[in-house]
Amino acid sequence: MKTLKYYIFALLLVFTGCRDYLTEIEPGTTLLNDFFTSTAAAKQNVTGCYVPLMWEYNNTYLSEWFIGDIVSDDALKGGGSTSDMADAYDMENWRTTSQNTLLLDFYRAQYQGIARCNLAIKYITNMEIGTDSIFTPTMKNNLLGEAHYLRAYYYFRLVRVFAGVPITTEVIDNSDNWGVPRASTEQVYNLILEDLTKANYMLPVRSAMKAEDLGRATKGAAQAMLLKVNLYMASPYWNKQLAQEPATYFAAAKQWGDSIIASGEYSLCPNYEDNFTLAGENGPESVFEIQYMEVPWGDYGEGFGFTAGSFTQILTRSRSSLIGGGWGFNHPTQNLYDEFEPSDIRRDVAILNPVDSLIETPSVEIYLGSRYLNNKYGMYRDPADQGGGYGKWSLHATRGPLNNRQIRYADVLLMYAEAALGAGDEATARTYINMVRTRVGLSEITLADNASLRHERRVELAMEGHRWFDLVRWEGVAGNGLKAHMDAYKATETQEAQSHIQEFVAGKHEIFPIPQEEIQLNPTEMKQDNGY
Amino acid sequence: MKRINLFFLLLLMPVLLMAQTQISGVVMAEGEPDPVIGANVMVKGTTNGTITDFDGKFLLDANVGDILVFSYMGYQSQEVKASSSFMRITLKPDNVMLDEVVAIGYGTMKRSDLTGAITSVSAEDLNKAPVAGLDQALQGRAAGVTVTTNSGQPGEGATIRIRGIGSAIGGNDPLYVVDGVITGDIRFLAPADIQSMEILKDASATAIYGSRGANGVILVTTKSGGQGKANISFDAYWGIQNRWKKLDLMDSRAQVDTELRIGAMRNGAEEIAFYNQRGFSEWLSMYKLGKSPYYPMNFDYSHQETDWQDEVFNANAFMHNYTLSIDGGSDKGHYAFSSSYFGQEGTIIGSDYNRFTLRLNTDYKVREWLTIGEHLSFVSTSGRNAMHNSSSAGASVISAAMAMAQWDPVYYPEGALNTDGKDLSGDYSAGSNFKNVTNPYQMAFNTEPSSKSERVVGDFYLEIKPIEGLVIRPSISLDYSLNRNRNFTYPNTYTSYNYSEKNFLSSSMDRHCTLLEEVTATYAKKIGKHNFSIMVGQTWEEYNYYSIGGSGAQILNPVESNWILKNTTEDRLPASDGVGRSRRLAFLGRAFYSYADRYLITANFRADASSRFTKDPWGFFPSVALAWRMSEEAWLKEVPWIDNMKLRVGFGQAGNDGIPSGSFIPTMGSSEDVFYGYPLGANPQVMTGGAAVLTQVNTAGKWETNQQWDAGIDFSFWNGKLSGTIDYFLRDTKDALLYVNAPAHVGNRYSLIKNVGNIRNTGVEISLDHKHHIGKFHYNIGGNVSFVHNELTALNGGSPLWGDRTKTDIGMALNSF
Repeated sequence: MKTLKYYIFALLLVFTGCRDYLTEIEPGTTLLNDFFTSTAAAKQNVTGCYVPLMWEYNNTYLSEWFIGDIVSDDALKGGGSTSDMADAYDMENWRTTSQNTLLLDFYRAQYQGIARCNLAIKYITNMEIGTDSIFTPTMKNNLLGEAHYLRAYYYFRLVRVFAGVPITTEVIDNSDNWGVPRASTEQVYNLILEDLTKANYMLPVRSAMKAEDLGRATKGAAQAMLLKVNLYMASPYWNKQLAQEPATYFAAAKQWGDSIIASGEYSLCPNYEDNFTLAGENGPESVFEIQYMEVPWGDYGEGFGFTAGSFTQILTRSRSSLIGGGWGFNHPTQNLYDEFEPSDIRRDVAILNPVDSLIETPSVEIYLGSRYLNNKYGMYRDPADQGGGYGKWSLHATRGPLNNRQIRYADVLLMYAEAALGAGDEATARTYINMVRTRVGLSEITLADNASLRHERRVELAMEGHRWFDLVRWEGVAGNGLKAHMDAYKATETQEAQSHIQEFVAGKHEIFPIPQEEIQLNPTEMKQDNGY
Repeated sequence: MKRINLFFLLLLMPVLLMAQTQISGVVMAEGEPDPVIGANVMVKGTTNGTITDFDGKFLLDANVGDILVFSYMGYQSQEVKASSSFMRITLKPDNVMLDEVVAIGYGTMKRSDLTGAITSVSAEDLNKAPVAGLDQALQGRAAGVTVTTNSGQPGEGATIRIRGIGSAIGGNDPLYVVDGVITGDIRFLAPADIQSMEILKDASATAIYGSRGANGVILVTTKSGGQGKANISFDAYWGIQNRWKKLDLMDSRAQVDTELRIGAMRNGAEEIAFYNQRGFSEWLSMYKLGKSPYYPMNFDYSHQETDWQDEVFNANAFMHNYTLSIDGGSDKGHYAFSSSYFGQEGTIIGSDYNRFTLRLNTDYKVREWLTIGEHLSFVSTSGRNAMHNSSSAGASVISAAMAMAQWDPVYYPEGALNTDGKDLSGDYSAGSNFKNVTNPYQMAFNTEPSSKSERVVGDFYLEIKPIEGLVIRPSISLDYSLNRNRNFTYPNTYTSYNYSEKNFLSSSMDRHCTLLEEVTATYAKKIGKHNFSIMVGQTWEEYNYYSIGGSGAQILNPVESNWILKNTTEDRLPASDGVGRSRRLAFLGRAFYSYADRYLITANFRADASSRFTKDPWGFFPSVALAWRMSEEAWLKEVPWIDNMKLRVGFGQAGNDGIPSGSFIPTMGSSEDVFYGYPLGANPQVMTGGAAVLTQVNTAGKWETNQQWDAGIDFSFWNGKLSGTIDYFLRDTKDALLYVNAPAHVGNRYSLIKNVGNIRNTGVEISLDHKHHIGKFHYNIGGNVSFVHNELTALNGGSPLWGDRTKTDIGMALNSF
């Protein structure tokens, strides 16, 4: 009986101690709270925030720049046939439904980026200065600045494709907090401005960064984005959904443009083509790039995020094995080809017009009448092996190492010119348009107006994914409605291509539908309100 | 893949040791005109015995005055003092074996006292077909138990489900308790070591296992020593196995037609026109082979017709088994020892399995009030695992066999050259049908996967009886295993998606250890017609896991004896390890009361805490069950054809903590590669390690509760000619944990676990037994059938659940396509 007493006593001990016994953290587990204990860890976390930028998501190969090209008048979808990547076909031909899986994956990828930024902002904000010897106020600011910059970037990618979307700035780790309403377009834009303003304050200029950090967000990148976002907010399509008048945003845009130009951190490459080579990555003209690299023996996950390289090269390369044997998407249109002035060297940088002998199977290599190829990204090849012209491609079977140039200084100059024009300063606009023209040896224009500016933007940035988003915000080049513009473009297409294009519906097709599955997952808060 | 086991029972040698003078006699059965064939006749307290012959007669070495024990399945045993040298014995039917004692979890109970839905399976039932594992032997033996053999991989466990699927996350495997040792895997047992198995099905029976009882419990009792002299037996069998049937797949011609139809959808009429004009070979070359260097350009595919299913299945795969067992005992103690070897060739290429077991069960009465005992089991297995466990053509021999084109040969013939002029003769052919299909031979033989494991399962216990009716039983048990996996890959050029220029070795070792401590105290008492017992207990348990492994390439002299990591010379990856732990703590109790053996009530309770649920570790699992033995009522006793009839009704809650460890703990993931790393720096960039939370856990997650109602009837009529059990059950899983996609703005890469809905399983189980004889031929026909309906009955929040290829919505079965 005595032993029984001891046993009961021992039991009680076990019982009182059991809570710790059961809640003691499993070995091998890094709790979120324990992770942020060094600068290196915080920096790793911020590095992770960039990763969703590079996703050409899941099995779908959709990139934001692909939307920008094919939905616009610059390019046709391409591929092996019209049904090859049918979701992209639908987007290009005004057939998009809310079941579009490319859009679903694109939508989700951006929010994964946002969630990573939210987490970094929350935990790094809570880190105390002096956590370790290098965690200085500057270091803390730099890291937070990157996260704010990237969060703004992801939201900007969302708002210009879907307009208003749910806004989350907190970490959501409890299913009770899953319901978040769809915010207005203005709320999303304002959050973007707020984040970018913080990023501008927190980030270092490019020249102050270590070589190993090349590719991270900089103060210049934040200012370029502030210029860009303000310009969007000043443009008619978006401005109608905002409270402030265009003039306010034009003025702000111009001011941010002044800052970045005055910083002297960037310049135009003397040779335009250098912007699209491996050697020219992160060069003097580069304000922000999505970084890719070559891992020859890895990366066979076909897009499930297992990537260091980009699908863009193989996706847009010719299907002819004589010139790369890619998948043949993203064919430039005749309409774009004709936009270039005859002496404009930028045409042949942007567009490859293969001679007949390079075409093996016309039925699949010429898409709805277009034989042109995206030369800036798709036809990239190792310059060291250009002897035969098309000999050596990237070492990897499907992934290319070429960075995607998101913001070039030429783009900044043209946006600055546009802001100046919007603010009524024709002379400044003309100066900066001409700066871009003279770089490629073209004659100066004598009058800057919407037409000349918009022409210059189209040819300078051709096949870089900007066109569709520009057309939307301008409401067409002539400003008489996107429908009028796209209908006019349709008339220039081949009969065959026209037969696929459905009626553009004004007020609907400027943006894309919120994916139906997301509405189902958030039914009380999400509404499809733009005609889809 | 189904397969059939053909076997020969070649040798069965019970060795009996005898002496003394002889007694003879005949054994009859009450109410039967014919004598009983095969009845057991033993001298009590010895192992001396025999069985009756075709005329019901026996001859036994014994003396007048010895007590003889007569027994026969389905009849009551009789002890008779030998009064003369010839005896005539009449056995009385014992149709329901009501006095049989069955295991019920932390105790035993007379069958007649059971209140829950418990099915017993005897050793005789289990040994009807030779199989590697007990799980397979259960197939078709008990109502409500579904057994699915997963693959042709020998040694692979079967999937067992008791009363449907109650959880999408927590696992649906039943709990196994082998002589009190709780385990998830009973492959360490040789089927010959089993004395009996009890399958606890309803929650009133399983609630005593609390958080792990939700999917049913299978209690296994292994053989322990009998009384008397040593009983030595040796048992062996050899057999062959063949594939049961093969799928009816397209031949070359039909396949071409299909390809052309698909091609027409993709490329218009062009491809068909090309085929019609230029024929098969040119079409294949143009549309399938292209200019790829992986295919020989001078091979004539048009005359090849490979039946890939015939190629990947081994015909007449051999299996053999040997078991030696010795048992015996005295008033003081008992021992049972056994050792077995089992070897099996796989029915698919590149697979085999070997198992060696040792087992020792002993108990010894140290004092009148103290017994000590142990069960100890050691198993060593080794095998070669063909890649089999996936439906993806890239990972399964069988699915690859189905995806390969019939026009592809297994090997390229002599003289086969590719576009680069390389000689491909003797190489495994490259699948030309789909780019990423791997030749199953390549899969099975370009790699040498092997695994070895050693496992010890056992317990040590004390049984203390301080006063009449009270038993205190402390025990400690252990389940410890070490597994070594090794995979050697030969250098091979295969397709652009699958090649390696170097030989490659990966090797890993993992260790699993579960320690379980239990103490129970049971008090039983009978006062007049009142019969009651009470049990209380406490347990704690810790599971630890550790694994370590590495890999490397280019072993310079790559013979098998050199397949160790030390010999690799290139691409070495540093050793990487994994670690895990889980803990449990429980308090449990049971009360049983019966009046006049007629009205029975059992109540169970268990409080269980699990480290998986960090926020609120405790779960409480009660149950109660009532039974009424109607046949004991005076008014029913008069009905002559009713031998036994019992009505049962029970209700209970059980839990399921089988969710992945860390499911509700926010953790950071970091790594240099996928999903985390980002290239930074001047060109060429460097992949820079990143860290991120890919999927936010749901900190609101909690236990799912499994609640079950059961109503049943046990009966036996006409002297046992018809007996059976019918059960109806209603099993509700509340707050069921399911993988759910969060809305995109939560930012999750993967779906996560959330308590979303209610899952209902309803069903009826019927098992019937008919026992009779025609002349001297006694026969017994038994069958069981069960119907289970599985449905998601409610969804919190109301949105259907989307899996990768499945959808689950209210009113649908889980994971419908």
